[in-house]
Amino acid sequence: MNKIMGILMLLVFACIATNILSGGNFVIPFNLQNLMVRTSMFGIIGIGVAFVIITGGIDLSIGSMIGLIGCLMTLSLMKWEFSIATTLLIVLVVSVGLGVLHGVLITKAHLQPFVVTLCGLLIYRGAARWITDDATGGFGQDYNESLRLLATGRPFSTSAVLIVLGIAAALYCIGRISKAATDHEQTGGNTNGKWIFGIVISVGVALSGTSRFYNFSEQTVLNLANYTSVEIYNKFDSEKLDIKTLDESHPEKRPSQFMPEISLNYLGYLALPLAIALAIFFLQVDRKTAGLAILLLVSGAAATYFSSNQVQKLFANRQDIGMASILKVTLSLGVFILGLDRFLKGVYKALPERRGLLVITCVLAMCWLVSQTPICRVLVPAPMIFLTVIAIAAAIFLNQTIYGRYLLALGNNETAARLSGINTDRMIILAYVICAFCTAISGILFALDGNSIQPAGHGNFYELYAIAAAVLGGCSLRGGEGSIAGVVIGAAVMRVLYNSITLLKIPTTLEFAIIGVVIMIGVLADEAVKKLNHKKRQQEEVLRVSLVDETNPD
Amino acid sequence: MPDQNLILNVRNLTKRFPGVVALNNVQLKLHEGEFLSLIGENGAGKSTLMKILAGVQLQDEGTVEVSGQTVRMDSVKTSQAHGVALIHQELNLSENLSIAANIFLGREPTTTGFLNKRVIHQEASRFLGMVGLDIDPKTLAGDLSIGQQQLVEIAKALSIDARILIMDEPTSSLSAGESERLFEVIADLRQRGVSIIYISHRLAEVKMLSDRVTIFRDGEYVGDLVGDEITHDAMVKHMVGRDISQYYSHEPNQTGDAILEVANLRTQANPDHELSFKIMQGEIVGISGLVGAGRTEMLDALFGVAPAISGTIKVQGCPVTITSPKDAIALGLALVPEDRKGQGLILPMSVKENTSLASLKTHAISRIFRNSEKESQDTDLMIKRLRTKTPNADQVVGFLSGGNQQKVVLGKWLATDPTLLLLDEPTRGIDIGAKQEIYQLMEELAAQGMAVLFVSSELEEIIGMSDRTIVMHEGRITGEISREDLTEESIMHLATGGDHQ
Repeated sequence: MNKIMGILMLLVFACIATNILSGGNFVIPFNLQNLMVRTSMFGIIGIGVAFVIITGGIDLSIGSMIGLIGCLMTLSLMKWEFSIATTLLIVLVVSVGLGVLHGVLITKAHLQPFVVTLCGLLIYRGAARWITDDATGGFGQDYNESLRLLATGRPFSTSAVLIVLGIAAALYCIGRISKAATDHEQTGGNTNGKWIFGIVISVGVALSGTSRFYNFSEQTVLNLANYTSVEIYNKFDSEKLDIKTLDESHPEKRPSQFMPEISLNYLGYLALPLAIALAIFFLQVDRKTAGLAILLLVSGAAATYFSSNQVQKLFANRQDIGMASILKVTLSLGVFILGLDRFLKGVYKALPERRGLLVITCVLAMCWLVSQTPICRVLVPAPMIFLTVIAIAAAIFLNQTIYGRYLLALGNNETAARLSGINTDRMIILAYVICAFCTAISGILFALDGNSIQPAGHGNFYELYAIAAAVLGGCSLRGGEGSIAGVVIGAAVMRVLYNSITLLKIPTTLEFAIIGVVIMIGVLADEAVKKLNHKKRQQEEVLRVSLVDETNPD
Repeated sequence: MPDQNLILNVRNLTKRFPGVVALNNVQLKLHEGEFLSLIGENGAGKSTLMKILAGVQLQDEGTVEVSGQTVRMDSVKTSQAHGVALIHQELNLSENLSIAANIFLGREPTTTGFLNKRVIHQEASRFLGMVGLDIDPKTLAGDLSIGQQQLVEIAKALSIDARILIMDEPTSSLSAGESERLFEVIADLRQRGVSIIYISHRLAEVKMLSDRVTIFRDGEYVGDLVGDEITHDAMVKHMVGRDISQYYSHEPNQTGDAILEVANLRTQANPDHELSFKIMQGEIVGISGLVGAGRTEMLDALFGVAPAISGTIKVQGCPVTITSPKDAIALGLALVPEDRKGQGLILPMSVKENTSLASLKTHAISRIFRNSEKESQDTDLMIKRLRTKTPNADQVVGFLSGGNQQKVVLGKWLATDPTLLLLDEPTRGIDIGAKQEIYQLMEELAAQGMAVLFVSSELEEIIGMSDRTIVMHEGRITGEISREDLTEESIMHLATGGDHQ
């Protein structure tokens, strides 16, 4: 939990910093959509490799396998003229077969995962180049309206996501209330306040989503927007922006497309009084920690505000923003994020009875953050759906099934797991198969998205991005540790970093170096935090166990 | 006054680990040229004290004085600089390096940055001569016998000019001849004014060699024995703190049908010998023997860890084949392995996750999903039943003390509802309280009709707990002794390869 929190903070930091430094170019719809596509595809392979890393192994062959899959697809569809179904079947069978092969070589032939998959990296790349004669392939225009939609399709808008999320959250709250009612009939509805509040907020979010489909007049929208920070008019063009390009299917509802943003913004305003209330409670309980956190928050926010204003001025005058502004923004934003982190963790720990309020405040703050971007006007790209489905399935598999527990156990101590009756060989093979399957899915998406597959370069280094995402997301290369949510966020961080390099016009030659340094800092910080927590925990344990000894004498 | 030649004085030392106070306000004195034995049961805190003296760990409270001067032993280097050398029970030689390289590891004599091999070999030969080892110093350490490696360790200690030599169970894996040799070397060292702290479970050796004996129990200093006071009985009494008859209270049960029948079993480790025996319902059977007698290997074969090569195993009358622990568990077997941390537990996981690990599958919903509710129930039940001291079920087991960790392992297996419990050194390295509780548990389980087969290297435990004892020697069963005939002598006779009387 702590770990996911940390990486989430890093993501928020990276997004905001990139947006400020790029003068708002980060949050333009085109960029956001692109980012979602790339995050999805890299997130899927990150999830795959996470399973392998949890067993204490590694898969270096992912990039080459993606290259091979791309080549197989172009050959199958364009040269051999197989049907789409046959092609997908070939790809899945080949990759899952290779996954089984990896697993068998590692468990039965006792080869090291690094060696097996390193050989895979070389062999699959060679195979891909050989079967295609090293010729760049693609799917032409024939599949633009069919197969390629898997990667390029934009099936529904984010407003729909808002509606679904809102309804789901509301139902969850109702469930908790009815459960509480059956559980403690005597205690009464005293604790239900936060759930009822939760329902109200959830319904509000769902309604924000639906507001896009009503027919508001332009005047109404403009009036409503007056009290928010939502900009109907583009900063760069003097004309009305985006409206023409984004909602062409419903031209008559054009002004309404801004409604979700506006209503979310209003919802988000609620976060401020709640946050102040929390801060006051926090101060009453633990003055020192709370004071420091709030000081960091406020000073960080102020500094960020001023430095971002400076950057905007530079942009307005078409001046180079320069290293100094980059440093100013990152530092001040860093202070803010640090304060935020301390505040959230502090409140969570010091005020256990206010955790519900804390969650609601965070949700509202997220609403506000979302309303500052045009994300409500963006259409959800199809790969995002793949990622969501795979991530949910993977999380359920890892956390709710016996096999997930087996993987974590054997990653920590294979002997003990085997002696507990776990077929460890089969579980390890399964991990490599899951990884190969995820590689197949994202390999298909990568091929279809690019539509131009160079056998020698397609997918190069992707395994390293995947491993980096997994490591950033809290997987330990020693095995036995990892969470799916962390990996997905890790993949997002990687993509945002990559994106920021382009947006901030940092020389792309520095790309790998920057990503490497950031991962290194992330992992170092993680280790430091771990050590600190370990120490703290040990002290607490000594105390707690000695208490147990006293109260529970034999 | 009498402490003028006091070379080492440990005062009021306390060391706490999560969940356990390893040393509580202990003291230890060592005079120049003295041979001091430090004895105590497993978990008495001997090793912890030695680690502190060797600079591996730092005490929480108390002082260590070397030659009257207070020293903070914050690293092995500091400790060595004050002339303290520790020879671990598990020898620490790098097997792929030569003897000479091992002796000078980390302190290699160099000339202008390059290793000076000639000097290294010369010096090494000199130190080897001092311990009476006439071997080429270029020999790889891995090619030496355990006894020779031990002497190399001593040579290494001499090379740092050690004045205090601490030896942790040096004879535990030596033959009688090798031990004799070691004693000679030790006597020679004492001539040179080296003081010895000797840790051993072999009370006969302790009695023969020691000037003085210091006894620890449960992390506390119990007392000293000097000269004539050093008798076997006195030492045991101090170590255990009560009579042995109080300690074990086993009453044999009415035994039922055979639960396990093994005939002509050949293990992978000892394929030349065939093992045959049976165990009845409600019976507690001990397996005794020296280290390396093939006891653990036999349990491994029964449990499918290293499947047997040939032979028949019948569980409750039905012939079965066991090729993996999974098979064994399905047949109602459970194995509490010897190496608790390496084989028994997933240390970074919680008490709950460990307790449920072996029974997850049985309780799975639709054969896939974990049954969290059942997991919590089982864990709470086991914590209560075994009286495991843990703050809660979500505690990471790595933070628990040895005895409580062992209870978690036992809980894991009891949750599978076994009919035959295999225990490999069930009380190794755990405190006396937990030991007694484990004995009690074995009683209870046998009374409920479970069969218990346990391997132990502690003769007292074998004599105190078993209805019947199987004795092994070099991979074969040399005999079975019933409860009435069970004595240390009768066991040792068979364990050392004697024929069945």
